[in-house]
Amino acid sequence: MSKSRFIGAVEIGTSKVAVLVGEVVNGRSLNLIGFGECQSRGVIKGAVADFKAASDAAHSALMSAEQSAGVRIEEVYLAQTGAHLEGFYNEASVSVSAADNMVSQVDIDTVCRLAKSKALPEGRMVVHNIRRPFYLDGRMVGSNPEHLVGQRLDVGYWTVHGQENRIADNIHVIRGFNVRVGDLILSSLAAGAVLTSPQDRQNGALVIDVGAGTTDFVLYRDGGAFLTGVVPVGGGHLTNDLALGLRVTEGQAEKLKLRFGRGTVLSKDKTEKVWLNGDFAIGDRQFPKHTIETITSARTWELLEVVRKKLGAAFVPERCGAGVILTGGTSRLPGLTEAAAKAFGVAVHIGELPGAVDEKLREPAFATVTGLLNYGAQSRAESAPAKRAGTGGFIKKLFAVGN
Amino acid sequence: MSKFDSVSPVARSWRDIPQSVAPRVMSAEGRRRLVFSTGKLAATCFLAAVTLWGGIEIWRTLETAPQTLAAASDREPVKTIELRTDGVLDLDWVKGVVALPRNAALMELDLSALQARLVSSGQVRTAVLVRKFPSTLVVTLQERTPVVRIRAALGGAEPSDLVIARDGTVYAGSGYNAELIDSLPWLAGVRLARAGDGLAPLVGVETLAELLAVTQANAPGLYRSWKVVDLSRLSTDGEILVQSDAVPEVIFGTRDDFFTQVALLDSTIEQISLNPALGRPSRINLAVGGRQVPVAFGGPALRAPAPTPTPASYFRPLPRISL
Repeated sequence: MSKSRFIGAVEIGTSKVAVLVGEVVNGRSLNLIGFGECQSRGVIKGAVADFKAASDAAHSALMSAEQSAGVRIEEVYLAQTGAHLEGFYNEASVSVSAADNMVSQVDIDTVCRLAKSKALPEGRMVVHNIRRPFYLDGRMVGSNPEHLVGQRLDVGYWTVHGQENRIADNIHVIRGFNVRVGDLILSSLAAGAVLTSPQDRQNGALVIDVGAGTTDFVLYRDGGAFLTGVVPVGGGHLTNDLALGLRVTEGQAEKLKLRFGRGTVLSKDKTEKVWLNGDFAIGDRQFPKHTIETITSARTWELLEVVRKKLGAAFVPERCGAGVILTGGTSRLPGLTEAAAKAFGVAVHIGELPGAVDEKLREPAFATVTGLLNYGAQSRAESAPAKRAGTGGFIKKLFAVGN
Repeated sequence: MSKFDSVSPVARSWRDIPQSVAPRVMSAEGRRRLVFSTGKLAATCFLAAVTLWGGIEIWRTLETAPQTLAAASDREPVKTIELRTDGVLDLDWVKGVVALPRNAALMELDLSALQARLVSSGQVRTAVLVRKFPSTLVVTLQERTPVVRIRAALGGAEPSDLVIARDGTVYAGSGYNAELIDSLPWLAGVRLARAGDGLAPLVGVETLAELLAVTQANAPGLYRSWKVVDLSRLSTDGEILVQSDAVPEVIFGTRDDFFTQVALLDSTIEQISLNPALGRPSRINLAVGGRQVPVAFGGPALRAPAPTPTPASYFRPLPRISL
């Protein structure tokens, strides 16, 4: 008899809250069975600023998703973003303890523990510990060096940490719906998991998720995540710049951005004008198209430069064979790929979700939430064999109902 | 504790953040879900507790008095028969019919055989027998109600009185009030036939029962005066003959509704009694139809009803069946 579990993926973004409901059958296959979306409120640059407003928006999206799926979500995988998230690299090395220099599980556990053990400042908490490949006597040995022979074992971890109260706010928004948070996942990692293939990750790829309030990125190398980061700049800033530069409201600026904004300047005629609404109604105004493109491209370039700068020496075009993959709602901005290609000097394309995903959700704006669900199902499948079968499952279920 | 534990502080993870939140910070939907899940947990605990308690009780009974459970399961004799009926049969009649052997075990009873025994009496339409542990047999009966009576000599024996239910079932009848039986008219013009251990149901009694019910409800005086009803012409002419105190022969037709015919009869008798010169009617034919009622006269004028005669005086041809 098949055993199903219903999990939810929630992304509380600056512009929208998206929820996907998935059915994990026998801990292996994943069926996407429900979707809910709601305009976000009370969230500034990915961080909860108004708990009640953010809760209302998130709960509306959760209820909508549950209704569309016709089931109750048992556990939620929550996307995490915001400028408070930072990362650092720490590595450790141990001498192989066995007399015959064969690496044992104890050596592996020890070096991993040492590499992860770095004290964080007060109020900071670990969100992810991303392990990089093992090195044995300077030779890269991948993810499992057990039984290999060598004298010194090295490993490094990219640790992502964030502000405790910001993370707690996000969790409490979900707990207000009386659903347990199963895991917190960086938005960039979630999007990257679904937009890149293992081959891409092996060849090297940079995934940039340009949202409304923040831009998340993850650099893949040697088959795994090498570095992650969050820039508190997104599509909302383009809108804001347009509003200031053209002296229009934010709503009007957003409309102009969506219709005429570009990542690179295309218009050569500086006198060409475009209408704000185009309906010839009273109050409709004209704006120079060149100016709109100039403002949006300047801000886009600045955004890409910030990302480039944050990547620093870690980004080497020669080690980024799969190129840059853009995603997120703002990635639909025309000319963004050209701008990114110029900024990073590698091939750039808009990320495409797998064909199995419903066409309605195959928009770049839903890459993160789709990736979250995928990530959640995979992590569940990976952890499943470690669990003992038998009465433990029943007892756990019995006490899980109170969550 | 490994030697590295002292030099490798473990950084706090987001999993250290407590996920419990006070209901006041929950949304209405969240609180609803909390109540639902709490109720589910409570129901699960209650079910588990009841199951556990039941298990303990059974275990304790097995430990202390195992014979209690064993006896209840198969060897407990029937101590009580509980009767539920919608008629007149009593517990003694039931005990006599089922005739349980002494100390018969409840579990060993053949309920379908007992049910067949009860139903074969004719008076019982349906019988349901249920074992009620530890030692009670519950008998639920639905009985037939008699509409006419008949005198018959079965197999050359002395003639005896039988009653007939609406569905034509002929049975001896037990427990009925004597007044009820005396108020029933006698049935004539039918042929009784044997079927198995009893008698085959009579055809046409349902139509007769309808006529009797209409008369009893709307003209109880007329009904009381009816002594014999005859079905000999029912199948051929669609007529029911009634012999009453006032008129030796009243003919009802089955084509028209009985209410109209009974009303016409009542009206006709009343008009005749108001005109003594017409004499006593010997036959009133209501089967002609319409408002015209042929009446034949051939006797003294109608007087007050005569005293109730004995059944033997009415019952001219005794139906006899050979067994």
